[in-house]
Amino acid sequence: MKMERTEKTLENVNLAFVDAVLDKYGCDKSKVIAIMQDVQEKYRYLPQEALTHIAKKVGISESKLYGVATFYGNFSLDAKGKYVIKVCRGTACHVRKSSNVLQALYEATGTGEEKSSSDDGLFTIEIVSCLGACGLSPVVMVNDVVHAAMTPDKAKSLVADLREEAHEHA
Amino acid sequence: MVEKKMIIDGIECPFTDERNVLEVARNNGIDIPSLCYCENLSIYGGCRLCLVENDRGGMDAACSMQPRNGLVVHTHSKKVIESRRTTLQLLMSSHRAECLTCEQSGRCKLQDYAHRYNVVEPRFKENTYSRERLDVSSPCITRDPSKCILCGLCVRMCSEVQNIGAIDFTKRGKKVIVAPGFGKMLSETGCVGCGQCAAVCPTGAIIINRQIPEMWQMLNDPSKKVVVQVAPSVRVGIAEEFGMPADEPVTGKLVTALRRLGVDVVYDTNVTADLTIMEESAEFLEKIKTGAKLPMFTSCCPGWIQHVEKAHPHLMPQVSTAGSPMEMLGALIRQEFKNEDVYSVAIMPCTAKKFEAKRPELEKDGKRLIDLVLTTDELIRLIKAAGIDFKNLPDSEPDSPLGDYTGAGVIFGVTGGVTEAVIRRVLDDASPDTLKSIAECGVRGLDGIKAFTVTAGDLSIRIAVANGLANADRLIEKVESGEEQFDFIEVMACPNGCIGGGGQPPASNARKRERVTAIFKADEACELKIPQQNPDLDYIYNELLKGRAHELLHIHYPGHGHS
Repeated sequence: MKMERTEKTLENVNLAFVDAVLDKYGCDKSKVIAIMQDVQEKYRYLPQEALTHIAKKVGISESKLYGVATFYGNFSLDAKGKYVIKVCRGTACHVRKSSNVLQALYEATGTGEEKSSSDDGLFTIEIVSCLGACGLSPVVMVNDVVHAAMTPDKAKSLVADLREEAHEHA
Repeated sequence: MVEKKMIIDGIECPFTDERNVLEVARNNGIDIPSLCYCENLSIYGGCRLCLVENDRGGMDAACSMQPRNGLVVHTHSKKVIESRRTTLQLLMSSHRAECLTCEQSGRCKLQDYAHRYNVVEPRFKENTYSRERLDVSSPCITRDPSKCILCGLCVRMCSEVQNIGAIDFTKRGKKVIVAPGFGKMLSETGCVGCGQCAAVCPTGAIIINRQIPEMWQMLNDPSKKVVVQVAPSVRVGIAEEFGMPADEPVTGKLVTALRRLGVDVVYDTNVTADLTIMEESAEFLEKIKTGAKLPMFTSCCPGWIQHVEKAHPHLMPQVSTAGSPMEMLGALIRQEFKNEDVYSVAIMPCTAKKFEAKRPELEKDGKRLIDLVLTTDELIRLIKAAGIDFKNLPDSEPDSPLGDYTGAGVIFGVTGGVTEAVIRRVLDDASPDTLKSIAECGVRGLDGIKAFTVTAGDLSIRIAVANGLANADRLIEKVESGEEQFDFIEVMACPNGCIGGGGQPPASNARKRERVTAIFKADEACELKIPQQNPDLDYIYNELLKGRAHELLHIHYPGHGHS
């Protein structure tokens, strides 16, 4: 697994890293999207500290940058879990009962419609429109690995496996 | 040069350099409705209410349309009216209409247009107004997202004119909301409480915090001595609301109206505007003498003070410690009525004054200097509620002592006024020739930034005047980069100065120019022109303050450090 555990505590936002990204783009306010993408690539979300810092450095208001960040669905302002589970709710997956898979994942990870990340910091459940693998439906993706032909039972054991894996790493 | 004309509703409309068809129409007496357009802000084209029909049957937004010679448009064709009605119905479907109790009622543009275009019942049954909570964190303004129609005027005002950007469009699609970033409250942002966002809000989504009930309670309490001070700009912001010309000051009627409301003592803040000049000029000359770091910045605008604290804290030591005229008169009133139960009220053109009055620094001898700040707009409501026929009131004079003032105090209300008063003080010459040369030195006019040099004896003083915080920021940048050098800088947070303050009834540029005329008429009406001529000064310094002048008339904000 390439991704590191998301650092939830704000002190761990490395402003030197953010500065390096800003330098790369010359503190240009027309490049804030690229800047935020680089920051999100490292932290897997946009920490508030980083955004405040970027706003100050490129010379736009905090609210303006927040507006840009919240406009795009691809940017996240919430810390994400170690495993981001994307559940496809596209037509093909829907017909093959992906809603049951989603429900099983919510239950197994302790998340829900209003609460996308689990308290233990391990899981984030995201609903996506189509993963482009309709032939394998219903599909879920854990970080960058596709899991095909899911059922509620398979979903539960997937979560259990991931939990074990995380435990071993720790 | 050939005169350019376009045809609006079959009428030949000449134009010159108007920036859009909307302005051409308005200049030619044709009112095209619009909710997201303001003459002082960039063009957004979002509300779609100003759509007009061209001669090919197409529809264009008049705010985003360049005037062209020979252009033909119709502003009230069947198609246009139908489009406006639909647009209004859509806007109303996401606006919490509680018109009867809404603070903005009667001044709400959405309400006005709904009536004008006969949109009598909601077309879309389910109202999708924002359920976000009220933001009551600011002592000056309240943000109510449920009434926001996303016109973006406040966003542009805050970023373009004030360079603060406390609020912006956040989120996406039907979840869009104008708000500070990160779910913050206004008080946690760079907001200085200037109220300019409320002045441009077409609905009641941003309103001035009103404290009229507190005032009534005190007026009706016989045990309280209600002492009121009235700021210079109030006398030029009130007449228009009572059907009188805006280019005449109504000082005398204002005093009468306050007495009829039941106010016990009426003072004019002008007296301490004079005093502010005395103190500020002395401080300035002292700084020049001792070689302290210049420029010195003025200190009377509470929006500016907050902006320094939030955006330029390192400049605070260069801000004058002279209290604002409101603060000074508050201090004098406490001295004058030492043993009485005084309720000290300030009528101000300003929303940020509500914040200033609550600052911990505005407490001396264990007493708040100001108990309540009401805006011009609140005073207008009080007068109307009391059924006073303002227009036909006789004139009367403020109470004395502390009732005298000079023209130097009056002109505080307009950008450049404080500076002009300081120059009058420093030149120390009340001859008409000198006064005329001061008026023509470059200090007057409504430009965002003015810079000029004044010579006093062998002293050459380089001065700049900025109004609107974006202009102030531009000026500061020039000073800090070394591009320009100044000895004295006046900053007023609101465009055009206090006459255009957030607490005044909202006004067009033309109306604001009338108010400027009124301010200078009030100056002309004063026999005394320079602050040191104020006959009350002796009483103030020797009887009331008795050696405590610096202690009571100066405010050391935390950023000033110990001096």
